[in-house]
Amino acid sequence: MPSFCRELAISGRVAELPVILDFVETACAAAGVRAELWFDLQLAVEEACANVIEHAYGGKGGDLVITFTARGPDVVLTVLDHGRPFAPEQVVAPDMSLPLTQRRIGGLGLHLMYQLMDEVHFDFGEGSNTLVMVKRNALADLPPGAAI
Amino acid sequence: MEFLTLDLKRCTLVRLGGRIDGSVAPELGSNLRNLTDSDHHKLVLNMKEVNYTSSAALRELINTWKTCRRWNRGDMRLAEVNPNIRKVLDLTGLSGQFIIFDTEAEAVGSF
Repeated sequence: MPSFCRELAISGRVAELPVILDFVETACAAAGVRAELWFDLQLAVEEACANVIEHAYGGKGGDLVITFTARGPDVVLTVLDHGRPFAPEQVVAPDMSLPLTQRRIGGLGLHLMYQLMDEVHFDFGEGSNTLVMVKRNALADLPPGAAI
Repeated sequence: MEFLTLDLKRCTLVRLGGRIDGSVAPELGSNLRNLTDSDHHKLVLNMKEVNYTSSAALRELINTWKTCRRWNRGDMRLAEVNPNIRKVLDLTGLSGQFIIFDTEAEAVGSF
């Protein structure tokens, strides 16, 4: 099966989030991702990009490159930025055992990424950071347009 | 994003719609604050037409929920949440905190 790969290079601004979501949706359709997973992939990518926009770039903008790759039955999503790295292990997940009035507000986005995707890896290099997220068995049984 | 407000006898009904991503979450928050700032603290949010929401929107909902419930003056309750939105609420533990009704009528009648 030929591999499928699409890339979006975009400015890291909140106003561009709809474009990013449209990119993921279009790629899902073209790659033949199971319909029930489109929402998960869009949300995981938005949360990742929102974190880069706010934390890596401090709201001041910067380049983002998002890639969508079908690797066998899996979908691999990557987000590349050139902002400030962070320590994901230091981000405290929301404590579900606490009443909402006592919970910290932060950490929801990263928590959702970990919940929605099967693998989440961060690679912080010299001047660039790469997030890789994998959703296993995301593709429908038949590639789009295949004869039955 | 669609945001339609109806003043009812028991509460204020808000019918939301569309894709509520991080770019429109500030508008959602601003609209909700306009309601609470004008003493509307008993809110029903009908989510039937909302097909997408992210953590930015959830933070606005959490803030509104807290504001409404302060001093026991009211509450923010949800109605007609579709499975994808329900999943996000479950994953973030909010479905155990927000009161969620299957129908708008039940949500309105709960006040």
